[in-house]
Amino acid sequence: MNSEFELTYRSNYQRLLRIAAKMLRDSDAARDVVHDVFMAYYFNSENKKVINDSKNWLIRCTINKGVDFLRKNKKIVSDETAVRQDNTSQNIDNQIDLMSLSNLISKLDGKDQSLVVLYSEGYSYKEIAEITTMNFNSVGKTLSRILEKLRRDYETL
Amino acid sequence: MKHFDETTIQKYIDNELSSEERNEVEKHLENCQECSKQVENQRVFAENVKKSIEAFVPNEAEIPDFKIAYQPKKTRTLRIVLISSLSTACAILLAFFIIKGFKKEPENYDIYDFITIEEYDANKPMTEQLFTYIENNN
Repeated sequence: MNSEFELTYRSNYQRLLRIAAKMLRDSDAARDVVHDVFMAYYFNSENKKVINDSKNWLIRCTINKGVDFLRKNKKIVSDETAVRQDNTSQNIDNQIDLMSLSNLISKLDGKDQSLVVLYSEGYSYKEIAEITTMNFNSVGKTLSRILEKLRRDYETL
Repeated sequence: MKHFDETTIQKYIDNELSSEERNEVEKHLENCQECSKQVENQRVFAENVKKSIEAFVPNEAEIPDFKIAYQPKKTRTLRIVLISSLSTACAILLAFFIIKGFKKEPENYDIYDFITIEEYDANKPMTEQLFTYIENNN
């Protein structure tokens, strides 16, 4: 294993783990997904495939693998969230029920969910556009629509 | 005075507006209660969205060593095996018949030519059959 890969691994692991955990809501599954991502990255670099922007590539790969994982394990993940709900019910804010809000987010489809996750990670619209290969001009519009939809859904709960 | 839509407000909250647009929004917000309220609502909601999924990030953040996992070779399912074996058999049969079709007839052969179908009687022995027998002796 070369040092260049080791460096990429060390500097990106936590970032990817955060994103995967936010998408999958399960830290073990998130670690698996992140490992898969680095496996793919490793074999790509072994086969001399050029990845220009490794950070964005890794994030994009994490999101895609996360969406795949969610699609495959739809049932299991929904059970998992139910369990989590009981565990973390103590630290609910008085004003807003964060748990039901996060459940609403988990009901979004994969692409919208990944946008929300990236937004919550504090990426700017430009970075989000680069990662998701979306049009820069449509990021703001799409994001505000998703948030608006979430807000309306939350108020009708 | 026109109000701003959610997209513009969201961009304002996220600091994504150009400076002119930003000035415009700020000027409008000074005089518009409705929009100020909307800005506050959206800001709080965005914060809550961020907070709500932050809970899923694992606390312990040690980085495990990267190990190349053993990747099992993809086992062929029964269906694929069946389809591939059947198609091979078909291909072999097809090739066999094509080659056989191309085979030339032998040049020296005898022609048994019945005069008409009515004269042929299957019950008679071969020697009593009424047919012309052309022998090719080349």
